[in-house]
Amino acid sequence: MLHLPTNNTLLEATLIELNEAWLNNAPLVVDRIVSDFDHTTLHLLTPDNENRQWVYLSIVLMTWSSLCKCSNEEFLLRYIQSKFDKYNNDSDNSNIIEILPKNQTVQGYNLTLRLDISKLNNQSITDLSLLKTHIMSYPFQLSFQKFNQLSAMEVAPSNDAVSTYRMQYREDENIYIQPSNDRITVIFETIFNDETDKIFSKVFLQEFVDSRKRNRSIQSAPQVLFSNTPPREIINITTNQNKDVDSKFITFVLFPRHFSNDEIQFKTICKLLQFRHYFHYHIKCSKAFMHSRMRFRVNNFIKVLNRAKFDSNDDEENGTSSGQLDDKRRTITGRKLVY
Amino acid sequence: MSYLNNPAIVMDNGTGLTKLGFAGNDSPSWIFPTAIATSQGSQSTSSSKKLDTSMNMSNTNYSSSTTATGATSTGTGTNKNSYYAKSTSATAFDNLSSNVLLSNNLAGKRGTEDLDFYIGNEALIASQGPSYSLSYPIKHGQIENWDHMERFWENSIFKYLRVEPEDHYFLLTEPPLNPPENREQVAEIFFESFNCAGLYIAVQAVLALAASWTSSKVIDRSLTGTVIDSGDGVTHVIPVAEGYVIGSAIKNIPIAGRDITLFIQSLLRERGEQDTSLKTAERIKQEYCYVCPDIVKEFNKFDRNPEKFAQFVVENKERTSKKIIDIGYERFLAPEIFFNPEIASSDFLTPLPTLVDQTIQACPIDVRKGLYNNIVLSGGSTMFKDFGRRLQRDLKSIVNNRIAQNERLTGTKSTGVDVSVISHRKQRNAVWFGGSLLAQTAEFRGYCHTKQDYEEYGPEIVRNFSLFNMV
Amino acid sequence: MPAYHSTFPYDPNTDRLIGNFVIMPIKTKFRGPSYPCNSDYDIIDECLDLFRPNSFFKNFEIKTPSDRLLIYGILFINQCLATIQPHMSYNDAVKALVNLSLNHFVLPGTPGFPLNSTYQVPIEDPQQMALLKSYLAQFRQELAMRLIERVYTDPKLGVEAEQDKTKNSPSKYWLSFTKRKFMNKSL
Repeated sequence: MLHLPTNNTLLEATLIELNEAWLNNAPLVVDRIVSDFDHTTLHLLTPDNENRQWVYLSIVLMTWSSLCKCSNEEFLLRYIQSKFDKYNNDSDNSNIIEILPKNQTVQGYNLTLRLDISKLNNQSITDLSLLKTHIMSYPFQLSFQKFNQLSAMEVAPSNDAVSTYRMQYREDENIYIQPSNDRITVIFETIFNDETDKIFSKVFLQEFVDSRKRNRSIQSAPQVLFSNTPPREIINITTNQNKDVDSKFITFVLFPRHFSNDEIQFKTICKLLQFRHYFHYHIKCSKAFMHSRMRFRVNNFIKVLNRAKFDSNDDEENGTSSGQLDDKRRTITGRKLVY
Repeated sequence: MSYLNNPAIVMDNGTGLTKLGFAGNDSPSWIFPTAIATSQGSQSTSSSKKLDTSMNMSNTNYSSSTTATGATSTGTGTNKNSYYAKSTSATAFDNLSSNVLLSNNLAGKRGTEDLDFYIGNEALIASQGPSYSLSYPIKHGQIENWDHMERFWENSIFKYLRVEPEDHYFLLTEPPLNPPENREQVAEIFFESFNCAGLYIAVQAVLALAASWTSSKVIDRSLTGTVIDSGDGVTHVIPVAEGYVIGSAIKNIPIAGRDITLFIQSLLRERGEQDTSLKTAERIKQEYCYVCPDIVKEFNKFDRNPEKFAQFVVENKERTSKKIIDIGYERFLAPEIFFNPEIASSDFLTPLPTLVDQTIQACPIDVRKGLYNNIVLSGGSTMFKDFGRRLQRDLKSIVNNRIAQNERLTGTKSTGVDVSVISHRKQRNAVWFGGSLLAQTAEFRGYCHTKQDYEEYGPEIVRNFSLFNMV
Repeated sequence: MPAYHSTFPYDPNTDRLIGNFVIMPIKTKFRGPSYPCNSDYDIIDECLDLFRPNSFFKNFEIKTPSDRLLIYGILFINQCLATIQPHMSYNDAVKALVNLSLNHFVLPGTPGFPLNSTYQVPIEDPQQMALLKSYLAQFRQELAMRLIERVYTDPKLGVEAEQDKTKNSPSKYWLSFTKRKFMNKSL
């Protein structure tokens, strides 16, 4: 189905497997890679064969360095830890979920969490499988704070006070988040390398932008704008000066109703972070749909062509073939299989 | 290049099960049935029926008008319809799948029907409802329904593996003797629909050989050996010489996992056990069955050691009722059908060891020794305890008898042939694991064809892949 | 591996033949024409041992005359098991099988016997036929009694355990074989 889950189901499944194995007194030793969109790789590792209670969960993201630039790495780490603090029992010295200090981070990864596999529960496993979302929600969280600050001011802030957070989530592709005193603007910059994809994406985006106007039931959704040139808000800070790259800009305008409480905030962040995945997935699906129509047409043409063939020769050949089964096993173009 | 650090993706789509995962891992991340449940609009089915009957009508008219001999009546023409439909369509869709194809004709649909589908276990669940129909796009190892397969891949990549195909290299598997057209079709889908960064298509048997390198018994990492691949549907015996499959010698036997399960079920029914469902039979197969050296002796062992009889508890979903199933001789009789097919089937009588011997004898004489001393097991149905040992013993006796006979006839002394069957821990998903081993090497990307290559040369580029040279 | 064959060789000096049917010595207390057997393991034990594995086979190549006796034994065991009902007590089963083994039965080679193409006996010789009949009666009784001992042994307790067989019910592991037909034939 079209629906893509917000969390990483594979990570979730693996953690459940580890937890259950521990509860069944047969703890596993793991060294597994789990992947996620946008150059994200997660790694589960049992660091100590003798002490299988501890598992290292490491993550490397393309956006990490740009996230650090939003404020600084220390604040970012503290923010991530705060997401999991509710699972750590204060009376107990050993935390269930704990970020390892920088010098202990597994080689090649941005961040390593140490998990106590024996004490995980369903809630914490689900939260861990949202790790990437939690990390990437950081600039959004900063924007929400900034928004509160700005909207509290009596006079409209001058342009200088406006700060923009940039997340470089892929090479040449960025998310810009700009809080102001009455709204937060989120701008996706995305590119397509493939010619076919470009056409599909253009049609898709035009429809996407228009759908809000046509459908009354989604009037409360954020306003969406689409342009081929950088919008006014970020014209000064776009890094992509490379004229060859054909960037597209999709702007979402969030009003206070889209982030009025924690729950809605989190939902908004999830939806926005999923946007590009859905966008690309949709285009792949559209291509698959086109292909199935093409196959159907070709098949019909082949049927017409085959009607012009003489029948008798064919008849004999197939009648003497060794078995019914062999007869059915052919390639897409009708070649008979050898075995 | 931005995708340098991303792990390659290994996909092994089998007839029954699909294994998906990342290179470098020791086990597949996802294993689920290669099944897809597509939504069935009532309108489309009726229209497809109409189309089908109209086609049949035209067929009968056509065949009756063209038959030279008047003896062939239109009646036989109607009977032959399924046959006829096949011969008109060059794409080998038999009647059943052509129906699927027709109802699957999305051309008339304007909604999001093409997105309304489930794969894997979700498909099995969805198909229990009224609005989805289940189908298996792969038959006998070969992809039959490309529409379904394309959507199956699309969902596995985005939903299950959560990767952007543009960022990753892919290693796919294919059955032996897969026609090059099918390879091209795969390449078209992967490069044109998914824009994947690079693609390598490996033969399953070769990957199974590579997987056996983890066994301590293997000293030299050669790509020569006989692969016995037994999954759910069919068992293949595939000789591989230096990385190339000897296609003419491949043999298969129609005995595999499902037959063993059915045989257990029939034994349970004969004894009148309380629960004789296929599911129970399958659990018994996986947990209790083993291969014995001699069935007469094994029967007597059961008489002497009552602890050999086991019990199996079946609980219903709500855990409210329990059924206790006694397990008896099926523990050793079930896998015995590989070695004595006669006990379960009346059509196929050749034991597996004999078939392996015939396969190797059909190969060029220069590679036979290598084929005998590296017999590699792969697939779930080779996981029975002592399967390898029994195979080795039976095969050895066949080979030694022949050698003895030769020596008697010619009077010269033979140097002997070493028969060795290799079992290893990764046997169940050997093909996938072999793929994971190869795809994590530094050289792997060099062997792949990239998107740029594809655009430069076209789909026929995938007809050739260079072999891995791992020594 | 094909079906299992009898391991008893036919010895022309000691064993009597009726047509191609051999009269092998058996250990028994029942009266009959069999010579006393001087080994621990006789053809009846072999029939009981090979009954279960061979029941799965549909093809059987007769190699020695004793194979014919083995076939007869296996088919008779099948008939016995079909007679024993799942809840029959030990004593009832003994009665039923004694009746079955002594009641009128078809001799090999005579009309009505299922495997007549493999059994050739001199029907015209009444003396030989009488010998065959009395030997088979003896063979059937002994086989039926030893079968009952096995069928009424509770497999869960093992052979060594002291068992009061009269209290056990017949083993379902044995009874399940009634549905298998060796060589697709039954008496």
